[in-house]
Amino acid sequence: MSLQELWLLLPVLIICVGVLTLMLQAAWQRNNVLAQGLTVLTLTLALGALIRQYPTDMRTITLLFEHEPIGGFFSLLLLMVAISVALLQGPYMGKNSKEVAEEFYILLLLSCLGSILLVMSRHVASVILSIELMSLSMLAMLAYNRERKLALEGAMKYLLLSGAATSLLLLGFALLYATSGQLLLTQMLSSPMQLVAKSGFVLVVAGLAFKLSLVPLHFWTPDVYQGAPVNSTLLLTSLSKAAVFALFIKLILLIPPEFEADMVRMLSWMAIASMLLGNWLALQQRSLKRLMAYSAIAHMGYVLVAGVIAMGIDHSLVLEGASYYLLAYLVASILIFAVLTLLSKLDEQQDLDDLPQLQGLFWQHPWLASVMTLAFLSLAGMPITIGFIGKFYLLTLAVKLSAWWLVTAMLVGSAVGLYYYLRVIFTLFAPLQRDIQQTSGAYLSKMWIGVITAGLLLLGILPGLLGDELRRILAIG
Amino acid sequence: MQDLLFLVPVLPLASALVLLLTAGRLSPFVVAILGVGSIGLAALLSLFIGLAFVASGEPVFHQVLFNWLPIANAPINAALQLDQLSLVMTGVITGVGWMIHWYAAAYMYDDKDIQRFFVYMNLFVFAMLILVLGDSLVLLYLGWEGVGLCSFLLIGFWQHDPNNVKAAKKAFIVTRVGDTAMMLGLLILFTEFGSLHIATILSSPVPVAQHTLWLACLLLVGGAVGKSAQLPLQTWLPDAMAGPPPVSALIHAATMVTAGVYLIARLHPLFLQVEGILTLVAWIGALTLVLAGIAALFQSDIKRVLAYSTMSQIGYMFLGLGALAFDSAIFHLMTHAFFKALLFLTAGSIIVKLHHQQNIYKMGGLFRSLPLTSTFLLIGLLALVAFPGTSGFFSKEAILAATWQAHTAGPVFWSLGVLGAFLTSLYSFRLLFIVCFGPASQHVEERDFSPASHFVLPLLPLFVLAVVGGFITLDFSRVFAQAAHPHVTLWIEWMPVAVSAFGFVVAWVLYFPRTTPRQVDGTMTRFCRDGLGFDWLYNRLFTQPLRLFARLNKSDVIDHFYRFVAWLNFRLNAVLVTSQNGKLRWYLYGTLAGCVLMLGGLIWWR
Amino acid sequence: MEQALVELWPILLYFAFTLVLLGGVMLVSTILGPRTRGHSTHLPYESGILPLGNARVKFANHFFLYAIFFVIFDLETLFLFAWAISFEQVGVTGFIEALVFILILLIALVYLWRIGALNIRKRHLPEQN
Repeated sequence: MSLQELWLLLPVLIICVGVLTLMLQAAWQRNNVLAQGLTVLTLTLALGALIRQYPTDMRTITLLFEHEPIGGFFSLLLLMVAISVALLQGPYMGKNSKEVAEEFYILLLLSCLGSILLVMSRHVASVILSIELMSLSMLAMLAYNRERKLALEGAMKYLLLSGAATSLLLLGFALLYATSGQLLLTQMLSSPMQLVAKSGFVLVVAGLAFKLSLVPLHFWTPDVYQGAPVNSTLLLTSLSKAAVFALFIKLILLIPPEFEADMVRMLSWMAIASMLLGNWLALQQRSLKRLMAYSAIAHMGYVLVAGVIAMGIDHSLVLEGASYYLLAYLVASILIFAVLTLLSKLDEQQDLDDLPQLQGLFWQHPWLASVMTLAFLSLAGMPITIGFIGKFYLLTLAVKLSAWWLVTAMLVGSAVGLYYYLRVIFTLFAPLQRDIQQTSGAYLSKMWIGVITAGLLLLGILPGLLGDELRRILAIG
Repeated sequence: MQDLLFLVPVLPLASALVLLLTAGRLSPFVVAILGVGSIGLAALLSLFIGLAFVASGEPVFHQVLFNWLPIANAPINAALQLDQLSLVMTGVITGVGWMIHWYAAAYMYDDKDIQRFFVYMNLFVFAMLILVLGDSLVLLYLGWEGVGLCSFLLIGFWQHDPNNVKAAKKAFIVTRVGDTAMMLGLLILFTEFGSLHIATILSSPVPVAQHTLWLACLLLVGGAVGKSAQLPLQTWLPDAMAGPPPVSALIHAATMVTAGVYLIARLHPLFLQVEGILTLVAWIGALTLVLAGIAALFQSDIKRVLAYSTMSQIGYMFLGLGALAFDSAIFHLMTHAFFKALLFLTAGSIIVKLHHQQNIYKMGGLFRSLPLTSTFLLIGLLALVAFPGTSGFFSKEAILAATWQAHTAGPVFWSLGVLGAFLTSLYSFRLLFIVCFGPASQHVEERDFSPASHFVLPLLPLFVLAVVGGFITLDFSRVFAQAAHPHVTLWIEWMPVAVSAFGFVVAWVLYFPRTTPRQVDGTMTRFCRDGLGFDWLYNRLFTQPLRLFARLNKSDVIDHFYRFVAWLNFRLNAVLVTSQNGKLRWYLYGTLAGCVLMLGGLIWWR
Repeated sequence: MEQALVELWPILLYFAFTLVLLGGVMLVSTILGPRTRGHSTHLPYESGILPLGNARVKFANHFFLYAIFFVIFDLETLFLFAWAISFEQVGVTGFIEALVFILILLIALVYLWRIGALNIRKRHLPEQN
């Protein structure tokens, strides 16, 4: 490992140092504010380091990792998510929580570390290690309040099912290794594929599809989402999805041409099923976290469409569309969960989750309700929000490819989705029924939410701002 | 100095936004200061910018604000453009608008919704400025719709009376017809030229088929006709008088209704390329001015008289456009803005003094009780009938002279115009005689406004301009191709004056109140009073068949289909949620089954 | 389909073999295993005590944790072992890396020690309400 490679790994190293510092701090003296400050500082430094040496071309770092523009963009997204979660955890825990604070931040940094490493992986070993690092630390966060029965149940389900999925992933890699004798992803997938190798690849896809909660492997999503503390749910719905998707798209762009037709067909059906099933399942949902889980299934279906198209036509344009859509999804998810986080408390037995509890939020907390409204509108793909641009990108691409089944499913899904998104918005504006408590103070978190909301609108109105930048990044990559 | 151009529309917008965000919290005084002050600043600013622009001698000043829609080959910028035409329009909008706002502050001071009023008014000025300053048809259309919206909101400002709301809806729907036509026209232009930038379209070397261009121009004329209340979309304007008088003065006399004239003048090179379209414009103008003149003769509501007169005067402007006298048409637009704003505001003063009485037959004898106000009325009417020396004289003369000579118009149009001049004189003096002479009304407050009142001060500049506005020389040399200035024989030049004098005599004989004037009522009178039966005709032709159709389809056949779709979705939801039963074993089997399904698919498809 | 069979038969065979083996073992143990159905079959053997109450009670996983710590730290030394063998080859870089590794282990140890995970008498139970 040369010094230059170390230099390229700087964001990762900063996060590692952050983890160790936090452990020492927990050992020395426990302090919520200090821990949060250290975490945010670490993440900001990592963000700075990443931007400072943003990759302009592909560079390998040892055998295991690589540093390239698309991954860089995804890492930016991941850090943004992690900063959001870190900022929200303070108000969510409150000053005198029964649970300890530092360990949450340590776990947060660890899962962020895992996700960034996953994005950078180019070797089976690093893929497995980083995906497990990410999932295991997330698992502990899912049951962070040990007195919530639902949280424990959800975490247990996630542990078992995710274990099954990881074993599928491993079996898939094992079959691929057995046929190709290679462990580097590029070499592993570039050799001609027999049926065994193809089955292996399908198993790998299945393992990743589980993390993305794509349709035939989506069962775990609603229960885990509903059980977990809302801030951990945010991490689950954004961080792991974004990181796994980055790997997913990297893998499916590597497969040999003769296998493409099969994969396109399979992924198309998965995308269609995800879009339709996710939206239909959410239709009458009252629990907001479950609703977001179903919505995540549907949105991952949309993102998968981008992957499908990517195999069909010009890669860079599609990557732009996929990145934009994912960004839109992340921004909206962060905002919705952020509002829920500000209205809930970790120590309580339940988060604010049931839809009727939110009734009339606008009349008591107009800003929070407006943020939430905007986020839901963005998820529904309404104009002037970033979600519209994302959907617009995908639709144009799908039309260009003449993938009419996909287009139909996208449209039907959006129409069904509109119903339940609007239902939430109507609830927010209905007459106030009971008092809703909001976390007071937490100005930094609220400012951050404001910044993200502004981004949602700005990129919705002026898509050119990021579009050009993305195109520049991806054209090089 | 010219770099501050963007501030001219931004100032009213900012004021509107501030007033909107503080809705109901500011005192009327602050509201008035903000609402009037922003327009005043904009007016002063446009004055200085205008001076700087004229001094610079540039043909066009162009200011790009930001890239709005980055469409690859035809990006749409939010950009302003100032040339001689838009300079005059800006001057009229901000200058006359300032006076009207000032007056409105006094008129609306006691209204509890004064803040809402000024939000709409300032927003209107912003939209109107965007309409005339925008450098692309997209911005023009934005302003066009914006003024339509504000007009709708202001006509129905006193929304507690259902009649006002009805009038507002009527205005919106009728102009909507025109707007749709215009939208289609713009789309045709975009497909043909690949851009909506005005200068690009006008100087485009792309050859376009004559009939396509003809259709586009016809649709644009449709838009102009709707906005400017010309035949056949003129029916909304008289009803629009339901709004407060300052609104009528600003929107339905001075600015918005002349947007159609501006549109045609702005795009005149396009119209010149099309055979016969300008003759059509001339026909529209000539017919409207005569019909509106006749209708004005039979009105009993003072504001409706003025509304029909506005329609008629815009008819003159269209006639001028049709006769290639674009500069004269815009000139008439300006002078008309002066004296018609004066007339409407004076009417507002009279209405205030008579405790909201608008029927002219219940006025009478105002010369004695309200001398100052009556003088304003008199001067406004003199300018309207083009009394030699007043502002209206110069502009109307120029239009009529051009009409006689133009190859697109001719003597027939000229004689219709002269007939219109006769009618103008007739209804103007009828109004004057019935309102100001004869036995005094019982309702009138005895004391006139003091000369320092806010009801009078804003009228003074308008008064002066109505008299001497004709001596302003407008230079359009860089916008309109210099038309050979008509040299017509003396009798043609003086014929309209003679006819107006004749109209005065006839009015004296017919209408000078010797006893208490009475309103005549008969089938013919009623027919004329209702605007020559157009409302009746449209009602029969469009409204009733539509209502019949709505009645037939009361249960809404198509809705059943949607209800079925909704039902289907809910059933699907009910079936599918059973798969999410919370049992870990089931989930595990489901996940593995999904995996097997994927593998099976792989093998199956081979 | 047939070609799939041709390519996949070793895996199928493997699955079949596993199934047969598992099923066979279970079957054989049920058939051959002795079955008595007496009064004291389910009671603990002589020296045991009779069970009392429900077996589903919360109990501390503390000893388990202790064992896990031991296994983890024990395993980490394996890496040091690998380093020790190739000490000559990896040189100074290897030395620094090993130092970093040990430092991380040390920090983890300090952390565990300070939060009381090594304190055998401390209860690691959530508070009961």
